This record gives sequence, C-alpha cells and structure tokens, in this order.
Amino acid sequence: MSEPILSLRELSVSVETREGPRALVDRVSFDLEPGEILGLVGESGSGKSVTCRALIRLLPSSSLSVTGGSILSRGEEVLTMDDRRLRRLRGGTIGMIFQNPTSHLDPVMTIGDQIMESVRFHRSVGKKDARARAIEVLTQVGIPDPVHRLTNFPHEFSGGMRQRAMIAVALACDPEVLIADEPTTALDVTVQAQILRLLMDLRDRDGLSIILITHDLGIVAQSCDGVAVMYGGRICERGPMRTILGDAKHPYTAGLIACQPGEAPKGQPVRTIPGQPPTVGAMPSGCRFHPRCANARAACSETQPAMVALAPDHDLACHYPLGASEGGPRA
Amino acid sequence: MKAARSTLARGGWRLSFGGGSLPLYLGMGILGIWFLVALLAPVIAPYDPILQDATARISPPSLEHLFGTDNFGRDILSRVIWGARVDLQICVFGVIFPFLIGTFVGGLAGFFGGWMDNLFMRLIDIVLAFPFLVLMLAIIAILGPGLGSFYLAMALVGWVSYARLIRAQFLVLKNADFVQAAVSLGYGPIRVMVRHLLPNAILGSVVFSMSDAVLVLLNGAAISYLGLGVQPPTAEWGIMIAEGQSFISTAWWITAVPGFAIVSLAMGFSLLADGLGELLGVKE
Amino acid sequence: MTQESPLLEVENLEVHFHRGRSFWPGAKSKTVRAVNGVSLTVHPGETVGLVGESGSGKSTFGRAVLRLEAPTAGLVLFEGVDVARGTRGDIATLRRRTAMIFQDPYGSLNPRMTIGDALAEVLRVHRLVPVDRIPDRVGELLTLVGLEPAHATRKPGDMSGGQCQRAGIARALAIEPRLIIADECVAALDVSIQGQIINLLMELRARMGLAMIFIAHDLAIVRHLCDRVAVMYLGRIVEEGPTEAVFTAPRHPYTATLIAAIPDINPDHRLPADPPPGDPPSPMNPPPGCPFHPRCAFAIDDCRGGGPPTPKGDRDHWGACLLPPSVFSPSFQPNDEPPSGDV
Repeated sequence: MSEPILSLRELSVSVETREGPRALVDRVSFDLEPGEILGLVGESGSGKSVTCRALIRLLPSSSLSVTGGSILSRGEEVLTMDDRRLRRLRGGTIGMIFQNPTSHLDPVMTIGDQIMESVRFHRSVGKKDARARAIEVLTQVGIPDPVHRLTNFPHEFSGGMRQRAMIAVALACDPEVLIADEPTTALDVTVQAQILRLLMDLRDRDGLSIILITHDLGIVAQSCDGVAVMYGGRICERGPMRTILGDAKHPYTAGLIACQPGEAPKGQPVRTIPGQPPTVGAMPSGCRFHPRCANARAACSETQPAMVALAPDHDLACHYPLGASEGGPRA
Repeated sequence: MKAARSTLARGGWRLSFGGGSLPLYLGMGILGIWFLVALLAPVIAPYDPILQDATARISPPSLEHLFGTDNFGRDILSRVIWGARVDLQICVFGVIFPFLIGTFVGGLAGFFGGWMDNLFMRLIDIVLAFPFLVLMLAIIAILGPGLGSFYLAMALVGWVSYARLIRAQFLVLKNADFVQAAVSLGYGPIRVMVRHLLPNAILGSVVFSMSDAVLVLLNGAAISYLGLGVQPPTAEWGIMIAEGQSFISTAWWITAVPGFAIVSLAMGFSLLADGLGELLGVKE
Repeated sequence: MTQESPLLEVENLEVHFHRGRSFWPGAKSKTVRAVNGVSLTVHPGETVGLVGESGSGKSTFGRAVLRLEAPTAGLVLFEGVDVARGTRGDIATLRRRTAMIFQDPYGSLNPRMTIGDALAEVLRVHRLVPVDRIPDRVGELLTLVGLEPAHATRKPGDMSGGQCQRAGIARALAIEPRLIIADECVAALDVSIQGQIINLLMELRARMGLAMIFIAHDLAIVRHLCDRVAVMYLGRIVEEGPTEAVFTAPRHPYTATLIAAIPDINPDHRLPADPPPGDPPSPMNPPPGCPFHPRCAFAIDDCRGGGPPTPKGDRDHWGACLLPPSVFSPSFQPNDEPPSGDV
C-alpha cells in the first residue's frame, strides 16, 4: 500500500461550554489512501462533520478548537501550517463540498466567475486560461453546455446541477482530496444516484480521493471502499466496506445495519437501537455506546475500550465484540 | 441547521440572572434607578419643585442647591426628580398605546391577508407619507396642547412601526409547521393567533419598544419644548431645557442637568433593548 | 376489495398556485399545478404510501386533504362529506377526525409551549375529556407514544428530535383521529431513531385501527409500512397498487427508476451505471404528453405529445404508461400480464 494521502492521528476537537471544554471529537485516527472513497458514518452529534472541517482547519465556530493530535497531508502537518500554506491547502490540495449547495455558492456571482476566482487565486494564470479551466471542470462534472452555463447564476441551476456546480468549484484547482459532507442528503433519489455516480467516476477517471460523510449505509455500500463508523465523537469501528457491512463486530455498527427497514420482514417491527444518541453535554462514561448496547457489561461503563486491530485493516474499539467467545473483557 | 433550530426553540423568556449580558444589566440598572427616583420623589426631593425662591435665582450648584437653581429660584435637583415621574409616564404611555394598536392591526393584516392586508398597508403608507413630527404637531395643534393630546397623537402615528413588525413576523410564522399543525388540529383563527402566533412573533416588537421609548422620550421633550406638551410650571425635563436655553451661556446647569437626565434615561432604554435583543435572539 | 365504505375519497383534486404576478396589467401570471387531477381512496384501517420526488405535489396533496391548502378543483369526500367545498363546520369536523404529523420534529411544536400544554390544549378545545381528567389523559397519551408523563413539563427545545416527534404523534392521537396524514415524518430523524418511530406507528395502527396516508421519499420505509402505494410525478399519480406488486413488478418506468435508484445496503446490488438524466422538472411548465418522457429511457414518439397517458392495468394495480410493463420491468412476465386497457 502506498503512503496515505491524508492521515489523522488522535485528533481531538473541543467545544467551549459554560461548564468548561467538552470533547466533540475524541482521539480520532484514520488514513485516506490515494484513490480511496472513505465513508465516515455516524448519526447527528457523532462528530463526523466537525472532524472533516478540522481537517482543513475550518471549524464552524470560534468556540471550537483542536486540542490535540495531528493531521498529515502528504507528510506535512496541517495543524501548524502558516496562513499562506493553509490557503494553498484549502481548495488547492483539499476541496470541500456540502449538503446544501444553495447556501454554499455565492448567489450574486456567476458559476463561471466562482470557478475562475478559485483558479486565479491558487494558480497565477490569466483570465483566458482560467476560463478554459472552468469549461473543462464543468465538463468534468457533467454539466451540459458548459460555455453557456459559465454565465449562469446559481439560482438558474436545478438542485442536482447546483450540486454539480459546487463540485466543479471544489475541483477547480485539481485537488487530490475531496471532502463531501452529506452531499446527497438534500437531493432526490434519482439525482442522488447521479451524484454518487459522478463521485465514483471522478475517483476512477481522475484518481481523486474522497471522504464521504453520510448517515446512509446504502450510500456507503454503493460507493465506498473503506468505512469508519463514528459514535459520540469517537471512531468505534473501521475497515473495508465489505467487512464492515458483512461482518460488523461493534454492536453499534451491527445495530445500524439491522435498523434498515428493508432488513425486517414486512409488517414486523423494525429492529431499533433503543435510546437516543448522546449529546455533547452528557457523554456516557467508558464506552459511549454502553447505555444503548444490549451486550454491555460492567466494564463497558467503566473503561473506554482501546482501538485494537482485528485484522490488518479492521480496527475495533469494543470490550465485547460480536461473535467473540464469552468471557472476561478482551485485554 | 439542527443546532440553529434548537437554539431558536430554546430562546424563551428567561430573565433569570446568568443568561444576560452587561448591556442588559446596565440598562436594567439605569431604568431601575430612575423608576425608584420617580416613585420616591416626595421623599427624596429636597424642595418643592414649583416653589419659587426669589432670593436664590440662578444660583450655581452649591451645598444648599446641589444642582443650582433656575431663573425663578426653583431647585433644579428637585425639578429633575419630580420630572422623572412625568417623563417616565411619557415613555410608558407613549409606547404602550402604539404597541397595542400596532400589534392588533399588524396581526390582523398578517394573518388574514387579502383585502384586510391591503387596507391596513395602504393606511400605513399614508401615515408614513407625512414626516413624523409634522404629523404629530398637526394632530396636537388640532386637539390642543397637553399630555393627553400627545399620547393620542403618538398612538395615531406610532402604531405603524409595530404593525409592520408584527405583520412581517406573522407572514413568516403563518407557514411555520407548528402554526399549520394548530390549524390542522381544528383550532379557530383567534386561538391560532393569540396562543400560537403572537407569543412567537411579539419578541421583536418588545425589543423594538425599548428603543422606541427613547424616541418617544425625545419627542415628548421636543413637544414640551415647543410648548405643546406638558404645561409650565409642571416639572418636565423638556420644559426645563426650553426655559433654561436663554441662560445657557451664563447658567449652564439649568439645561445641562435635565439634559443629562434625558440622555441617561434614553441610554438605559437603549442598553435594555440591546441586551434583551441579544438574550432573546432577536435581530432588528 | 374492502367491503367497508371508504374513509377518504379524493377525486380529480387540483391545487394550483399563482406565482410571479407581473407588474404589467394584463400579463399572465404563472400557474404552478402542484396537484393536477389526483384521485385516491383510503379505506378505514388502511395505510397508503404516497411517494415521489420534490415537486411531485405529494405534500401539497396531504395538506389539501386537510384544507391547509385550498383546492382549485375536485372532490375530497371524508366519510362521504365533500370538504373541498365544505362549510366551516364540515372542515372543523374533518380536522377533528384527521390529524397530521409533520416532518420537522422541532418546527411542528410551538416552541413557547410545554408538551403538556400543547396536548391539554387539544383536549380542551375539542372537549374530548372532562376538564379534571385532562392531566391524566395527557399522561396516558405520553405513555402511549413511549414518553414519560414527566415530559409534559418540557418544552420542545429541551428534547431530542425523536422525543419531539413522539410528542407530535401524541398530539395527533389526542384528537382520536380516524385518519393520520404523516408527511415525511421520519425524514429528519437519525437512522437509529427512524425505526423507533416506524414501529410506534405500526403498533398504534394495529391497536387503534387508524388509517394512514404516509407521505415519504424513502421507498424502503414505505415498502415496509404501507398496504398500498401511489407514486406521484409532477402533480399526478402515475402508478398505484398493492405495495409488493408495485415494488416487484412496477407498471410505470418512473417507479422502476425510483426503485433502482435506492442505494441498497447490499454492495452486490449495484446502482444502475447510468442513472436517469436530469432533475425532476418544475411543475411550472410540465412537458406535454407523459410528464416523465424527457427522463424516460423507453419513451417513444407517442409519449411526447398529447395529454398524459390514461391508466392501464386493473383497478387494483395500474400505471399511466403507454408501454406494456414488460418493456421496463423485467420481472413482469408477459404471460401473466392482464389484458391491458383503460381502467
């Protein structure tokens, strides 16, 4: 395996609350290999979006701060970069797209201008070259008639086209990594299928590496190579997609899979995970999933399970993994 | 988005300590002091505010008269203290009537829309077509000078701001899910308006009324200054300034002290408006 | 077919909105035909799924049934009474017997009212229980939806999304409805919470004999929950039938497309390599002929002109498509295809 293109080690992000700092993201580690689509799965409040914004040091509020760990982009530490390097990183090396293209595209600038602005900011090229690049990148994301579309404003695009346009802006400077934060949640299923297809094409054709944040395991199954499952600000299980979906060892991962309404016989109750996802103010002790876990025992509420490799590429943080023989807590 | 929604839902009436900011407490403090002063005027005022002392005309601040006396020999401190009663009354009544009328009219226009909305909006346009002060002066001139006329004029002119605020809020909230839910549960229009729309729409107006109080205070003072409001010899800050202005080069204290009183009261309302706005999450 | 008389009969319902009024007098304002001739019948105790993408008019339809939108044309018969043109009294009766559950769990509850007050208000306004019984009934309702009676003192802002949605369901149940219209009622919830709400709805349905119109874009949930499904596209129902029949042997290419586009959790069930192009078009200017033809891989010339296709198939399961279902629905065996004709 080649050197990872992006590598997180023990990244922690805290939020300042009235009761003092609280960890939103707690020692999260994962690698993104070149040409990989990594699914980052979790429910609301799992810290998946915050993790990815921390990756390019774009934390949404000043009360959030990175409190530890390291982020290596091609071996270079992101957390200590100066502003100049950081600006090159954002957009130049790592592009980002969001759930809602309407609020992340500038409504008073044409799509062409938004792409050209990014190109001209990152590469000192003339207007003509920037325009050529804009046409190229619009073609790349499958927007028909790109020459004409350059002069359109975001509101003149349909929902799916707007998401494509946002991807085009993110790809303008040919980044190596695309962070996609719930990119299809606001879209209709047929359009979602188009955007997922586009992301996979970008990976296959242009070698783009993608971190895909989602709550939908179906999307993970259809488009991701690797999966990291987050719960309560921690990664509880990570591994190759087929391993995670087919042979999940963490009760939370298995619970999420069993929750899919298609998994239960018609008319029978759907399997559920009881209780609510934890909130920042009230994180359970030990393993954060233990209050909702059917397998929980005393050790689960006392000590935090360490991340252990089950296989070279399958890591798990659980005291009593599914399918393991009964007995005392795993060392 | 989820977070934003839940903070909106959480921003209820929480005037407990610990939730607000410095401007809020400062504003509440200043207003509290003035309300106390007005309440205790007979106790704390050292002199009768309209008692003339021919022996002590235009005397500068001294131990005997802390803020000096005016050209009739009346104690400025006592007049400012008694004036607080009149000026606070002006603020309260000058705001409450427009607030009530505006909320009522704006609510009806926003909720029912259609011809009612058209009618009230055109009425608002007509009122807004005249300069505020000119219209007020015209109304007072017709009704005759005095505080009653002033309040009536304020009510006739000032309601438009409140009506527009409430109407805008109603138009937005009318389509909110919880209002649609109330309609779908078969509640009548009055219940939907009073129980569901109004409590959620009124905050902006409450905050605005605090800054409006400043305007009303200054208007009241201006009207009195022009001789159309409170009549002498009643102690009122606007009149005091008007009376003192011919002595401004020789006896600054006659105008400066009531002037300072007006500024501090206005500031109190302003700070309270800011603090409340911040606390309740209202954007003006 | 059910022997009972239908609870709700909607015939040729149309809801139009006028957009973009022009400054110039005489210039035509644009008409959005959000719901354009929809007929649907719901029997007591039956759950009908209404699926479609944005702009299909499924939410507008649900709101129009409750008269939250004024219908432009058509009939809405609730227990035999036409409420589309009903008196205020008819509408009040309708709203006492039909309740709605909304998508946004926080937004559908008044943020300044406690849950208990919101429930008590329903009971008081409709005089459902004696005044002194109200607190007990509030507690019962909260227990019924899996909350604690103590939640009565909370405000929506102090509860999680799932708890708010349960409170919303409790409020809907407070009027003891016969029909519930659930508009995307789990779409805003976390996956692990969605299942809890679906189970609650299934349990309540079984216990109270509720009829339900379940409006959703999530086909997997609809398949699990609903007896019948109606698929909407651009303000029209393009296919209607028993759930399993619709999912296994769709009679309209749009339904087939929609089903194929759901990302399956089984990685071996791949998404189609070439998903249908384009977005759902705007109801502002629907295409002539079959509204789906610009995105349909099977469209022939006849699809592109004239009016929308008439329903074909049988009364129980029909699709508004000119083509025989075996063209776009491989599981449709030509030999068990009923003789196609207008319904």
